[in-house]
Parts: sequence; C-alpha cells; structure tokens
Amino acid sequence: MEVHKVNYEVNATPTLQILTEDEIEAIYFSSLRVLEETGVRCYNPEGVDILHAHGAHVEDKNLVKVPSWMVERARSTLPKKVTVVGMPDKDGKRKYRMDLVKNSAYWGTGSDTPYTIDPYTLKRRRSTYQDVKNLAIIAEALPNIDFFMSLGITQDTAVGTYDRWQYLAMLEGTNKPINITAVDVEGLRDQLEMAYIRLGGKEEWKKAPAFSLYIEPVSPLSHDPIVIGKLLFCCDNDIPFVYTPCPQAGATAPCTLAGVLVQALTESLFGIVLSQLRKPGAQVIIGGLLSQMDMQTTVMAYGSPEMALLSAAYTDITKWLMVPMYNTSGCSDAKMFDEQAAMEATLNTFIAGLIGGNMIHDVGYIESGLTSSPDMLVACDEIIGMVKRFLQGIPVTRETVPLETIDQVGPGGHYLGTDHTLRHFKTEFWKPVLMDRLDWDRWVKAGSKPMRERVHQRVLEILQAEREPLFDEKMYKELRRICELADERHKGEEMGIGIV
Amino acid sequence: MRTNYRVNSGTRFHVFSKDQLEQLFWDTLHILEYTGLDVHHEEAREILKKAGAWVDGIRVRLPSYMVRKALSMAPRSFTLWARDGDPKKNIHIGPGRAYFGPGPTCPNFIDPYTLERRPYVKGDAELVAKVVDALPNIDFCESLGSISDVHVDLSALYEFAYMFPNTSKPIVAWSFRWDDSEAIHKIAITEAGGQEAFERRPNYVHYCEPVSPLVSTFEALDKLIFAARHRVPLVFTPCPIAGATAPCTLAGLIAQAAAESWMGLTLAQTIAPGLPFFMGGVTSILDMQTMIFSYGAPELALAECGLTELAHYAGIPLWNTGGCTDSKTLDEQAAIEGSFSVMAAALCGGDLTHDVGYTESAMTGSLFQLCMMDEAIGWSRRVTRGIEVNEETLAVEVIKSVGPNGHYLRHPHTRKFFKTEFWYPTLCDRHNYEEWSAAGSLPMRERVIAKVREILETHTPPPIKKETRDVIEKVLADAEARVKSTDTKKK
Amino acid sequence: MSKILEQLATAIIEGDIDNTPKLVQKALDEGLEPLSILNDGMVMGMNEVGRRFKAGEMFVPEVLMSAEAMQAGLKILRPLLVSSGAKLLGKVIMATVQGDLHDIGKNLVGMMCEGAGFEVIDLGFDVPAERIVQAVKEHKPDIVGLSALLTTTMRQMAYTIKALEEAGLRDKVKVMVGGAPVDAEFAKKIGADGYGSNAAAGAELAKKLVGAA
Repeated sequence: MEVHKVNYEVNATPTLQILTEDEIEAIYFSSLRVLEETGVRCYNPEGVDILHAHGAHVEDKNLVKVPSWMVERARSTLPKKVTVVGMPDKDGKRKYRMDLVKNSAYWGTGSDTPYTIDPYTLKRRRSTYQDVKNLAIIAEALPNIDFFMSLGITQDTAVGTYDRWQYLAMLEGTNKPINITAVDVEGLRDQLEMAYIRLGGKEEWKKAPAFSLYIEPVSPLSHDPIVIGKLLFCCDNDIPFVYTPCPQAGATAPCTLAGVLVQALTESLFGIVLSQLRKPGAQVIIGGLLSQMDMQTTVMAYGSPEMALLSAAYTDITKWLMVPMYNTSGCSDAKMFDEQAAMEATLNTFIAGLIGGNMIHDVGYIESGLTSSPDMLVACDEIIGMVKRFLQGIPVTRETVPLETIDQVGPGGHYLGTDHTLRHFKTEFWKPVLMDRLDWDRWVKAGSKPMRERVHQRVLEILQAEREPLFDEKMYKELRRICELADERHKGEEMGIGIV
Repeated sequence: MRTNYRVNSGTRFHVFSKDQLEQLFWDTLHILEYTGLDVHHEEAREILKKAGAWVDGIRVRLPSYMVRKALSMAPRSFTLWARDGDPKKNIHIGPGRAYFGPGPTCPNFIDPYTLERRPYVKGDAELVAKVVDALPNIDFCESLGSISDVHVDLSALYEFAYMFPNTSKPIVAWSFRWDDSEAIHKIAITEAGGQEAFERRPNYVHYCEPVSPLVSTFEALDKLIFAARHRVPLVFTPCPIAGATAPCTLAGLIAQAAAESWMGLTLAQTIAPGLPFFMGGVTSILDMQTMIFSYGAPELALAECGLTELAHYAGIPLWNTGGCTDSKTLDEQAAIEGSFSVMAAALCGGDLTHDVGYTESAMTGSLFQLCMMDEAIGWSRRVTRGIEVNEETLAVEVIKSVGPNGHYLRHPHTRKFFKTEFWYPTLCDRHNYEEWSAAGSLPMRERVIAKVREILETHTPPPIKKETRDVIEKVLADAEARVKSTDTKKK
Repeated sequence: MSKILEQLATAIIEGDIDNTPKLVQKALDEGLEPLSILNDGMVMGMNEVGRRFKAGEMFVPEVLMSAEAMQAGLKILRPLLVSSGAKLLGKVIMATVQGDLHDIGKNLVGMMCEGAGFEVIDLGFDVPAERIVQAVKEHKPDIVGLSALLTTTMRQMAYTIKALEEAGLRDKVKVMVGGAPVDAEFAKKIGADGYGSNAAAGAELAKKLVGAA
C-alpha cells in the first residue's frame, strides 16, 4: 500500500533569500536610530502637528524625530495584506484582483515617463493621451501583466490637470487595477470621483479599492508638503498608497547597499507612522526604486544588478515586517528595445520573481525610466511567463520520479509515447509565444526574423485588433466632464506652456 | 560588540528541501540498483563486477553501497590550474562557487567578420580560445565547434592543439577515442612539466558523454578509463531529453541524469580513487511543437538547478549548462534565454557551467553570444555576491552627518565604496539619450560585435613553452600519419 | 611648462584638496602670474579630468574631488585675479524651482561648474521665482541655472524666466535649464538660453554661455 510521508518538508517553489533575519534586524534597528536621532524633514505643517501631538520631537519647525515606540505601535495596526481590484467588465464583475501579501508576485508597468516610442514610427517622442490609452490596451491584452501605471505622461493635455486625463486614458484602455499619480490633493479627489463613477458608486470602492496612489518621499529623508497632503487624504478615504523613495546610492543615499536599505526604510517608516496615526489600518505599500547613480554617466540606473539586489533585499525586510512590497523589474537603461533591454529585464524580472514580492512595477521602461516602450512591455510579458514557469519549481513525488516507467522504458528506450509523457507534457513544459524554436531551415523560410520583429508584430496586432469600448458613451462623458471642470478651474495657470 | 550574528555570504537559493534531496538521492540509487544501465564496454563491466556490481550480459546494476562508496571518495573541492600559473585564472571548485565557459562540438560557427553562419574550421578554435582568454567572466575554455576541415577523426585533437596556446585558462577537452586522448594528454603534461607535475596541478579536464536513457557507450567509458588511468579530472555528462529520452517530469529527468552520471562515477573512482569528477547533464526538454532539444527553455535552467543541488547533496561538483539559446541570430531572444540560464547557474552555484555561446539549440557556436553572456555573468555575479551588512555598510553615522536634503557625492564613505559596491558594465550602455544618440544610436549587438573584433585584433594570450609547441607539432604530424595509414588500410 | 604648474595640474587631477592650495601659494611665491597659474596649471588639470571622465577612466566622486581641489586653489587666486583685472569665468546661481524637492541634479551641475572654475551660489530647492529674481539683483551672476524633475514643476522654469523679464533682468543673465523631463525643445520654448542633458553637459554649456568654450 502507498504510505503517506511524514516528517517531510517540501519546497513547493524555489526559494531565494538575500538577508538573514539577523541582518534584517540590524537594518531595521539602524532605521529606528536614524528616525529617532537624525530625524526627517516634513514640510507639511498638518503632518508635523499630528506627529508632534502623538509624541514625536519637532525641531526647527519641520525636523521631526520619531521615537522607536511610535514605529512599533504603528506596525501593530498596519495591514499585512492590501487588496486592489480592477474595474467591472460589461457583466459587472471585477475580475482582476491583486492580493498584495507576503510571497505573492504581481507585475505591472511603471508611471509617468516623459517620452514613449511611437508604435508606428519607432521614434522616441513626448507621450500623449493616445499613447497612454494604447499602452493600457496592450497591458489589458497581456496575460502576465496584473496592474497598470501610466506608461507616459499625457502631455497634450493641460499640464496642471494632466492627472485626470491620464486616468481617463488608462480607464479607456484597461480594467486592471491601476496605480495612479496625482498632481495634488485636488487631482487625487477628482480621480477618486472618477473611480466612483466608473465603479457605479462609492459602495463598490468600499468593497475593494480600484486604484492605489503612488507617492514618494525625497531622498535623503525629506517629505514634500503636497505629497504628505495626498498621504493624509488616502488615509481618510480608504485609498491604498505606495510610499516609496527612489534613493540613488552614492548620491542621495549611502554608497553601500546596506546603507541604502537603512535610509529607504527610514523614509517609508515615517510614512507608516504618520498614516497609522491619521487612521489605524490605513493601507500602505512600501519598497521603492532602490538603485545607484551610475558613477560614469550620472544616470540613475534602472538596469543595474544593484537595483535588482536592493529590491530583493528590501523584499526580505518587508516579509519580516509583514507589509506589502513595491518592487521593480522589467526595466532597462537601454535606449531602445534591444539585447541590453532584453538582458537587463530578464535578469531583474527573474530576481523579482524569485524573491516574490509583491507589486512589481516599471515593466516596459527603457532609458532609465525616461521612456516607455510598447515592444519592451510585450517582450517582458514573455519573460515573466518564463519566470513564472521557473517559480513552479520541481515537485518530487512518486508520480514525478516514475521509477516504474523508467524501468519499463529501460536502457536505450524512449519516452515519447509513454502514458507518463502524455499525462505531463502539456503542464510540465512552458509554451513560448515570442521565442522561436524552429530549426535553421524553417526559421530562414519564415523570414529569418530576429525577436524584435516578432515582438513588434505582436504590438501592432494588439493595437489593430477590434475592441469594444470598456464602458459606454454616457459614462465616458461623465468621466470626461470631471477632467474638463478641472481644466476650467485651473485655466489661468497654464500660461500657454503646453509641453507637446 | 555584536554576537550570535549570522549573515549570508551572497544570496541563498534553493529549489529542493533537504528531504526532497534525500528522496531524489535514494531514487537515483534505486534506478542504479534495480534497473541498471547497459554498459557497452567489456573491461568496464569486469572492473565493476570485481568491485561488487551485478552484471547480466551488458546490463550492470550497482548495489547502492558501491555508489555511496564512490561518492565518498570523489572530492567536492579541488583546483583546476591555469597552465601559466596565473592565480587569477585558476578555478577553485568548491561549495558556493560557479564558473562559466563555452561548450563543444557545434557543427556551425558565426564568422566574426562576415557574420555568416558557416561550417566550423581549424582557425576558429584559436579565435574562441583567444576570446575566452580575454573575457573576465569566462573561466574555462571549450571550442564551440567541431572542426570540419581536418580528417574527421582528428577534429578533437586539432581543437585542443589550437586552443591550448591561445588561452591559459583551464581547458575542457573532448576526444573520440584513446588515440586522441593520449595525444591531447601529451600536450598538457608537457606544459605542466610531466605526468607527476600534471597530477598535482591538472590544467585540463576530460569530457565524455554517455547516452540516455541509461546507456554507457563504449566510447564514453573508454575515454573515462583513459582519463582515470592518467588522473585527468573528468566530466561525465549525459544529455537526457525530457519527454523523449527521459521522463518529461523534471524530477524524473534529474534522477535519470544522476543515475547515468553515477555509473561513470563509480567506474572512475574504482579505477582512480579520489579523481576529481563532475557529474553532469544538459537536462532539457523536447519542444513538442518543433521537435528540437531546447537550449533556451526555462525548464533547462530549472532542472539544472535541481541537478546541481542533488550533486551537492551527494558531495560532488556539477557540470552545468547555461548562457545558451535556441535563437538563430544575435538578438533579444538570445539575450533573454542566455541571461536566464546564466542567472540560474550563478544562483545555484554549480560548478562549471558550459555551453555559454551556443546558439540555434547547440547547432551553431557564436563568439558574440559568448561575449554578450560575459556581461550577463558579470551582472549575475554582482547579484549573487549579495549585500554585506555590518556597522560600516549600515552607515548610520554617515546618514546622520549628511542629514535630510543633503547628498553623499562628496562623502568619504562614498569615495571608499563606489568602486567595489557597484558593478560597472562594459556592454550595457547607461549614457543618457543625447550622448547615446551622439555616439551613433547603437543597439547592444553592435557593441558586442565591435568588442569581439577588438579582442581578436588586440589580445595576446600568454605563450606556451617552446617544448610544448614542438610536442603539438609532433602529435599532429603523428596523428595525420596514423589516420593516413588507417585510411589506406581501409581502402 | 614649469614644474610647479605640472605638479598643480597633477594635484587637481588627483583631487588633492590639501596640497592644491599649497602648490598655488608656492607658485605665487616663485613669482608666477596668477592668470598663468590658473590657466596653465589648474585648468590644464581640469581639462584632463574632463577627458578622463568622458573616456570612462574617472568616476563622478573622483571628478568632484578634483572640483573641490580646484575651488580650494581658486580661493587663494580669485582675489588676486580680480584685483589684476583678469577676466574670471564668473558666477552661477543654481536653484531647483518651486514645488520641487529633487535637487541632486542641480547639486551635481553646481559642483561641476565649480570644477570648471565658476563661483557657484546655490539657492537650494523649492525656490520661488521671486527669490531667484532677488538673488540675481543681489549677486549679479552671469548665469542662472534652473532644475526640475517633474513635468508639473517644469512650468516654474517658465514662470522664473518671465519673472526675470518683468524685473528687467533677463538680458543681464543667461538662463540654462536641466532635469529629467526637460529637453532642448522645451528650453527653447520657454526662452532659456540653453539646456544641459547631464551635469557635465551643464558645466560645458555654462562655459559656452560666458564665451569661454
């Protein structure tokens, strides 16, 4: 009889660890020291008042020193899981869901690049409303993209109110969860209003938020007044927010990677403390774009191994803290979708997948985050597919080590027609879409295409496919009206300085 | 003073738990003991029988104690030496370290100047060795091809004869049979200063390949016996194809590859106890749509990691596979697939990773792929080096002195660490758009091609001894005479 | 070239902050002209630094050390040069515009300008247009350098240029702009005199704007 195994531990998936628990603790307690002894600058008086009222020391108007016990207390009310659910389909179902919790990995794009690669001319230029919509349509079509951020700033709309237009462009393109940006609290309020309309009421939002907000402290240790205003608004309105810095090792953070982790954690812990004081249970995601200033070019590196390594190490820290992680991958310093873009994206996506956390953004970035590329986005979908196959690991069971089949096939035999092969080959092997596995002759016959041509073909196919609008004309007009009202309110401020 | 402080030296990565490895280990022994292998070498069967194997005709079954005894004799840690004694080029096999190099026997080669795919010719072995010698992250040398323009029996010998003078990095040599193994060995020991000196400091590794499923061919074992008798470190590596010549589940694939390797291991250790031995396998899948043996599949990388862990559990090093692709050209697919398996190999830390530079599913060797992967390996090695966490790197005092809104660009702490903490790319371009455009808006492949050509035109490998040069000339002349006389006899 | 000037150039290249002023003093003691010490010693060193940085042989922290050494030497030379009526590279006012706290780029350009021999007055970040106008009145710089990281704050560059115009100061200073979302086209649109795509380009541009390169 088949006896069940006991005392047998299984790695159901591969495991990766950068830091030991001892190292994580060393970093955490170093952060507490910085927060308490060095303090941070908070330029939002309301934020300073809240912190001061609850026990923080304030010097020089805005230098805030937060004692450790305040951090410990904030952690006790901090949610360990944050859920964001996308917009309803025609049938009313919100089918895209992200449960951001320890060891779960979701991939999505990055936000607000000034430039994009035109899908038809392949030229780099300023991004527009139509680009954002197109990229959202592509993201909607890709099976391995779980959330969307605006892969381009809408620069053909008013500058001071671009955020509402950008959100509308995204809503037109995708029902997947969105991580938005906002110009200010007013812009955030408008976008929340738009989400309510799109959801069919505030009650739906209460069931599950449909977007999160991206905001960031400025390294080193500095907190913008408008950003803190948005943070407080999120707490008051049940909006999950990402509070993550972009420290550059050697420039805006210590040159040593451990020092980057200490400083970045300090910056995010400040956001955690303030949010939990404002509203216990406020939903925070921390992490960041942790990288270095490249000391040869002064560029902030998006494709460096240090970026991948720092993100993975920070994920170890967030697992220990039990707080959702905002990770980075699928991005590159290359100026076009080429071998470098492919290489850097593969390596950093692989590491992000292995470490497993949680909301992995910036898929589709090239040129160190300044340009979005539809081709890069589509290629990364394939890379993520490969990584996901790897993450399935290797089960070791009597079925997967088929001693009897091996014996029956015997030396010199083959497995092609065996029941065992027929049972498994479809699930055991990942099926590539864009990778070419033809032999030489068939590949030549098919036109000797390098991968970039197949990738670009896929981009055009998606964009040229016929699609139903995600919502009707009436709703579109309602959403658009919020954008127009905002433009109206701010029309004096533009001075005719449109960027595009 | 900190105490009880455990750190990770580099990243920690696992596919299997200890319990799963124990299961796989005993499953492998089960295959060897109950199913056994067909061993097509009479002398090998006799040696194994004398050592306790059960032999029925050509079928050889190994009681598990024999394999465990062999495993206990094979070293986990040893050194492969650069022929010129350059300490930077020595390979220290041991826990936690991954080394990389090309693979053997592709029929085709990408000409570095015309960029055409053409048959591999004599001079190509020289080019490959030169590029291997120059690339910082390529640690050992194989030829990336089978020479087409010499007598078919001599291609392996010519490869070695052309590679050896052009790199001082350890070479992994393959051969057809005893004759050319002997000739290759003569070259290597001449440079080392004789057989005894070679045994103390081996400067090449001998490669042999059994057949899946579960067949030890005459050629593979004959070469193995040669290597064991001359104490040449051994690579014994099957290429089981999941779904065709091995179970299509990766765990079954791994167990079978291990069984095939350990037959060779047991024979080698019986003849030469303590002989450095790499178990192996190119463990990948049959693509069920195109019917090719995939060198770019994620399953290859995953199975290699699993096999590495099993090898390390058993206490011996692994002949790993990575940096290879199914792509037919220098493109994004080649970068993706090559980088993927390189990173996997670096993470699992095992031990000699070959086939860096394979394209077209091992049909074509490419210096461009090799050179591009040098960058991916450098990248991966920066990741697997991990993060050092101590008082100085935590930098609390530095953060304090810089303070909010300050910057670290001029801080002594930055000046101390910026060179070692960061990896600097050579092919990945980090310039901003304006500077990149001004330099010609080149995609990475153009930089790769330029770098390979620059190495070929400028790199001078360390020379070999005069007597070695003479021996090379002599063994080649002898070999030519030998094949001439055999061919005449045949006629 | 005299030995002392060679040593001075080397001290600049090596970023030797301690030794550079000593060598400047020694050169003066040996009777060399201040202008010659600057141009034939220190600037020669800085030019080599620029060459090596471009070739990837020197790294940012090393370049900044050289810039610091340059400033340390200039501290002694500047008053002598001024009193001798020699033309100096001049003054640059640097600011990250209102609403933007991201000032690492501005810092870097400032330091590179110092390396080129400019006197740099840094107004910091989140600087309103009025404060910049005030500072131009007070310091009479040759150049105003503005930086922004966000597209929303990019507009502040335009406000600032307009404010300089309204104060009647626009034709007294050159304005250069930079920052990740800024490009040459935008610079032209808002009426700036130039755009630098990175810190080194910014310092080059500054030299060009004062007719020194």
